[in-house]
Amino acid sequence: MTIAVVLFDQIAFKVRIKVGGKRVLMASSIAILDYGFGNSSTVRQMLMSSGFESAIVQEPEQILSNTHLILPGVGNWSSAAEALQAGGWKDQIRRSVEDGAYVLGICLGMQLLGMSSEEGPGRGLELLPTVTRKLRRENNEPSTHVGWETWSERNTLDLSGRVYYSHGYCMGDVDDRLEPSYSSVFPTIVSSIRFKRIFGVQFHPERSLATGRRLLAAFARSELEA
Amino acid sequence: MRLGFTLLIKNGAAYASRKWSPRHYLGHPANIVRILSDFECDEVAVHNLDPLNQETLDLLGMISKNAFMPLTYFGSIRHVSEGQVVARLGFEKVGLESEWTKNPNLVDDLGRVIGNSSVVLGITYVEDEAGRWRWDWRAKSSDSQPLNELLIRAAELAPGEVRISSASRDGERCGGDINAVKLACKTMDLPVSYQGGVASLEDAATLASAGAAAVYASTFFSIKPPFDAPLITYSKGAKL
Repeated sequence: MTIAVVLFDQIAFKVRIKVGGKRVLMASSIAILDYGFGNSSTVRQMLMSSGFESAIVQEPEQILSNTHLILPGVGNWSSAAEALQAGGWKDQIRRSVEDGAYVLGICLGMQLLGMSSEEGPGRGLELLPTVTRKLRRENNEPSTHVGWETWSERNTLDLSGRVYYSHGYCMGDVDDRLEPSYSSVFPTIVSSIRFKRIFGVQFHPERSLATGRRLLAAFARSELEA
Repeated sequence: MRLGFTLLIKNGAAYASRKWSPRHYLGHPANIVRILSDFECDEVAVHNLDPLNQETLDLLGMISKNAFMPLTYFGSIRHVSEGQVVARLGFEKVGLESEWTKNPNLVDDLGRVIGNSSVVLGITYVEDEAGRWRWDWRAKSSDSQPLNELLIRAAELAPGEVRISSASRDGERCGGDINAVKLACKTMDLPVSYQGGVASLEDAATLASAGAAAVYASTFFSIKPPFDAPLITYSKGAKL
């Protein structure tokens, strides 16, 4: 067993231990992936306001030693999927997940955890067997789901509260293994999923005031594991 | 319903506006946004009158760092790259105003990069006896295009949201234009937001019941009668 990094600061601390080549989590070392399609600095700011340090990384190789990965996302599926693939992010993220890293996908970042999207061509990270779909009138869904709603987290963590949504597509084909929660106003729209160490939220915790702060802090403290 | 705060920026400072001109100096925009974060404001819409140069981008970055609520940007986006830069600074929505009427392709092009749900089309109008006519809040001029025709054109471009704004009522605290909201909601199958003349939370509630997904105010939240003293406040009240 080798201790790879031990860092202490005022509030957050980071300890990573390697056992037989596998990363074993002691505490958090958070990387926010800046692949060109997300509000990385906003996520970092929100984490900082909760007392957690994080790093915005622009090269896939830089996430190798991180225990927690955040994939923000604002934009178009095809462009973002292409950026993940062409930039070498996809392989690196998948490798990190295999090594036991925690992953949080936000909005488009959540959708990119899956396979494909009705929004356009391109493959996602293929970590989850989901297909992103357009919001549907026949489901009484709006063309664009924008606004604040109360999110009811279906597990035991005290994370429920007001959250902010802004999206025209959502994750589809979500079965119970992914522990989905749904929009409180549009009950066919998936709000969050959780599968092992992979977590996704369709809303924007980085812009969801107190609830968002609690959720990001819970992720940073590794409390979201299924 | 979202209840948002509109911040007009001129020469790097924040103002409450009247007819979309700076009226009352409020302070540094980042400081205003920080106060609004503490008040748990639903949303802030930044309307920038300055050129989109590095100095402005630095200011927008500072605003974003102090905002824990969603941000929308309006002001001089002529190219996709400009919209992309603003979105990357942390603005969830990028608004196009006169740009989309001159270059409708910009809506789709920008949507392909930042997502259609993040593109807001703005229509500012003035009211007179003959109707409602488009008004450019940056150029301060009207071009006699009727509101109803603009709404149809906006709907065809399928943005994430359409924001209508009465320049005639802006800063007047005379009440919102309920008929314009009803017209917009009847014409379009898109979220409609409204700005202009809000004088009370009851006003905002009435506009919401007319179909507005969001209502924005500036003077109502920042200028206190009877002496028109600047004081940033924000509350949704129990009804909203």
